[in-house]
Amino acid sequence: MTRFDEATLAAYVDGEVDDETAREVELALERDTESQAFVRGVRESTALVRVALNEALHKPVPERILAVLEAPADTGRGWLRGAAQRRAALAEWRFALPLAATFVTLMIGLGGGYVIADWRTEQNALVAERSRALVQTMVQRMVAEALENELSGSTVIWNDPGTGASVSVTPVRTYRQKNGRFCREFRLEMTHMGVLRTRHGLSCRSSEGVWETTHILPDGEIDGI
Amino acid sequence: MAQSALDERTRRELIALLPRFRRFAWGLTGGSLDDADDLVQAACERAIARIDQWEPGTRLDSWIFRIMQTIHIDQIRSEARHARHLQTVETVSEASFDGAREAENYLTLAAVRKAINTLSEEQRAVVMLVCVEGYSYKETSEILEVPIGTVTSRLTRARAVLQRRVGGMSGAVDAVPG
Repeated sequence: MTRFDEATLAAYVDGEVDDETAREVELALERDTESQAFVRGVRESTALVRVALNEALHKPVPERILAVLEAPADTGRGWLRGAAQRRAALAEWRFALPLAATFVTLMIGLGGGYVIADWRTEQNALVAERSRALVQTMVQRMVAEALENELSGSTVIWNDPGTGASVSVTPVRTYRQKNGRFCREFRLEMTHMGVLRTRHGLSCRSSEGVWETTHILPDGEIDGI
Repeated sequence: MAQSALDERTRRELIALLPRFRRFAWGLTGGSLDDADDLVQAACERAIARIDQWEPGTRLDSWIFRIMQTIHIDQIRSEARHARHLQTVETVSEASFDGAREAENYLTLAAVRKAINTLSEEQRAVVMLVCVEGYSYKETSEILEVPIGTVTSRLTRARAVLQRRVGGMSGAVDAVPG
């Protein structure tokens, strides 16, 4: 079995290897857990870097820059048109590929450490575990639902009066990757055992119509434990 | 005079690209968005003044990224900001990444940006073009005017750093793709 060096594995992630090498890498990845971990790490840090800087895309462009590119009075700001085009693309995609979302991977960080730290007695741990499982299931369903059906800015909300748990999902932005895949960023709010947690997620839609969440990031301001 | 050379279509394209220019500048400068806007503004001014140097039919965004990178490097050199910058970054990273456990709890988008700031200027430019803007290695080497081998080695080193800094995330995020 061929062992690939890190540069080749990274090039594979970046789409820089030819088809044959890509197949060989994939074959190697099936067996080699070390390479798997490396590839996962590269994917993860790449996506994190992208998400971390995207904030700059949403802030209004200052007048001083627009003034440099001074427009004749009748023209609007071009990137608003861009947003309209993105919405149109989204509408088109909703028409073409309705209702196929299922979730393959999702990680929301409600995990074990938190439960053990905050719910010390066995009784509470059981309740917390049930609530955690419920919230986790609902998050998966709702994220898939919201990404598939909601326009950016609209929120879907779920409440469970029994446990006081709630989940809300808001897609914030849609864009299309070079390879034609649609990706959406979303904001996720979960209340679990009285604690509100906010996450920012990034999900891309596979050609099979599956929303694959590649990243969930904690929100420092609200969730800075 | 130079202004007249900027035709309406190019002007509109530049405006449409502004959010991406700002993101690139933000990643490159590693400071406030306001600092980044200074760079975007300078790059737009230079682009308008030298629009005749842009070859129509080639990518306008790539050309501006190159201009931004050039201005940025010039600024660092002339203001001797480099040493000061590295010092700041050192302090920040010490404080924010005190062990993997803490990274798990505190890692936020801002922390990822701090991790990007710990990269060298050269590494950052490559990371911005390949990871954020999605350029190929070849396009990146053309924009930065360095050989492809230099692009890949900078990328490899940058990723090793990022991995160390944000790798602690994987525990908190518990990513299980595939």
